[in-house]
Amino acid sequence: MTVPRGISVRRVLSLMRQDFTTALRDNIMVYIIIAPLLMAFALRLLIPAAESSRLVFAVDNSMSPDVVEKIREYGDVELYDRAGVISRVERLDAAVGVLSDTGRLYFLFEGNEPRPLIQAYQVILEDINRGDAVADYDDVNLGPGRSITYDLIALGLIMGTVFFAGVISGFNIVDERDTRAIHALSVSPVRIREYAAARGTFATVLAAIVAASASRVMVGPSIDLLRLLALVILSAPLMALVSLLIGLFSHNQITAIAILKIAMPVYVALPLGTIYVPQKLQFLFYILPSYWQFEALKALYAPSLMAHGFWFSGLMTFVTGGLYLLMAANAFRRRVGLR
Amino acid sequence: MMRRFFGLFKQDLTLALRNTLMPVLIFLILVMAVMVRFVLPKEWKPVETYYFVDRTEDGLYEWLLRQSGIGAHQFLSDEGALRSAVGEKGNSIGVLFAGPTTHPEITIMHSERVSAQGLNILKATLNAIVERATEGTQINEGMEQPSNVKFLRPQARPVAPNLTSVPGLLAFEVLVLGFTFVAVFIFQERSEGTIRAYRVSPGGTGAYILSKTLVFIVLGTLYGCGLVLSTMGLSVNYGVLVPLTALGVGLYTLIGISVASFFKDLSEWFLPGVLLLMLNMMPVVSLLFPTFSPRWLTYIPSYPVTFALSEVLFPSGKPLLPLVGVLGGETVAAYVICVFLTERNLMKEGRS
Repeated sequence: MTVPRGISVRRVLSLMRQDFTTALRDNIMVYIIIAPLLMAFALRLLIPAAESSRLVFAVDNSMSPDVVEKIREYGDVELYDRAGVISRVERLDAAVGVLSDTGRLYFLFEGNEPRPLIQAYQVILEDINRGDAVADYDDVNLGPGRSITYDLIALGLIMGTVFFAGVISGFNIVDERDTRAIHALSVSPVRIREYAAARGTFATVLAAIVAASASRVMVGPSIDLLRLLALVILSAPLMALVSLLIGLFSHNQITAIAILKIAMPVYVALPLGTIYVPQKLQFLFYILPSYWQFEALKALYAPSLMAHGFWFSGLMTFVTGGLYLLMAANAFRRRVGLR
Repeated sequence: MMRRFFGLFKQDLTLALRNTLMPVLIFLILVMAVMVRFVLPKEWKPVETYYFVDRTEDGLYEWLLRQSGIGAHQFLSDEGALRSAVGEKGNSIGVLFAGPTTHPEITIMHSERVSAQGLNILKATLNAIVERATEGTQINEGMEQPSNVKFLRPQARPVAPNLTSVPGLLAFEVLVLGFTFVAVFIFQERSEGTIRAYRVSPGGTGAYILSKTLVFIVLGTLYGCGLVLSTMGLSVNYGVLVPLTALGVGLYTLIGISVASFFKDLSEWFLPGVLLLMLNMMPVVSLLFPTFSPRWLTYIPSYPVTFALSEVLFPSGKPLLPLVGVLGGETVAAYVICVFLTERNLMKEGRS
């Protein structure tokens, strides 16, 4: 079976079957599906617990119950004797000691706390000592809300999943170069476009399964799954690019890991870092396909941070990824002698 | 015996340097230096976005808040605008001042993610604002010279937020260098049959492990010093940083050898290895949320390491010895386990 532009679907499927067999034999299939899901479960438990963590007050147990109850309104209270309060404050996490000196309440810090944190505690102490109410309050709860930290972590996990799908495919190429199996391919009818298509499609299928599952675990059904899958498909050239780049620059496993150490920050950390970059300088990152992937994922997971639309960003991921893929495929073809 | 050990060390070092490792490390130092120096923010910003509407008689609260540096875009025209702004951005909080200036009615709009304690802390802040407004003082007045707080040690110099990332980068990127690369070394040696040949040579398991560990101690320490030098310059006590980094790299290399002994190649190791690295990164949550440190998190080796590195880079007078003691204990335990696993999983191949 042949489609226009001279790609043999049969040869592509045959290469994919090889990847699939290798992945199944080495338990990679199991790991690549289970690892992100385990991570998603862990993060789902950890991040909300961390976000809802409360201030910790290590309080002198000789203090009156009224004062202790008043302090409890602002955070968790742990009762110790005076020496215990000091050693609790000395511990690595952030806990403040509450002691009194001639009946006057004061907070005890280690000395390495940031100034804004100390000021926040001062305000609390003022409030504890305040007698009459100075204002009347009304609380309006507007519903569940979202946590930007959590959304960005979910987004980072999805980006990482897509990236690792490309990496696994890249390791197969390194293995073929290491064992010289690629020389056999170079004298076969397999063309570079078929080789890249096989690597990209294999990675896309893996990424689609894992990204959809990890997303479901992290954020539930609130994300439009079809859009997520569409983005994974639009990222196919990017995944093929990752795998070809690893294969292109790595002649053995040590160089593959070294290349990975460069590729990972460029792919994941750099786009994530752009949330700190002013809007007027964002254009500097437009040349990165993973920046556009990040933008499209922001539209799904953190819409309040979105700067471009989902479809525009998705298409830009495809176009920029495709352009780099053409260049990488050309270089790869010359390096390994594929047709 | 020493000559044999250094021969092995030289061989491992050559292998590490031959495979583009140094250019990669230099590139990574440059990337991290650019991120820390130019990309990460140099000032603290609150996680939440606050929006305000002041409907009091004289608009004193808006004036006071603007004086304290709150941006103009955070002041909205009416309650409807406030409600929709808070509704749209789930991590924001809206505050509406109404009624008399001296005893205002304050409405707080928030998502259900805000805890009761969080609301009480916000109310404490707003009470302080109201009190200062009625006294005719500025919002931050009285905060610079705290009288109701004491310190166990003299207050440390404030640290710019962008630099607080350096201990994290050291702990989660530099120290784990050996964890990843030693695995690849072992897989390469396994596939080439070098381990089998080594087992029948006079070199022992201890020399095999220590030679690799020393290679990554040298490379990791150079990598760590390069990172600190490029981000913080010479203002750091390198006399303490170097041995601490060396100890940390040694610990993770030993853990790396132990883990790698269970797998036969990189593909098989890769995802479980990455998962372990991510688990090792969990203490970063305690750095982001300083009040969050459940006991299980403190057992992860990177937890004491991160705080020890932080103390070296930003000295506050906290005693380092207990942290170094924990790290030293973990390293000794890791060595014993590593010898056992290397003997059992790697060297047995030579015997069969």
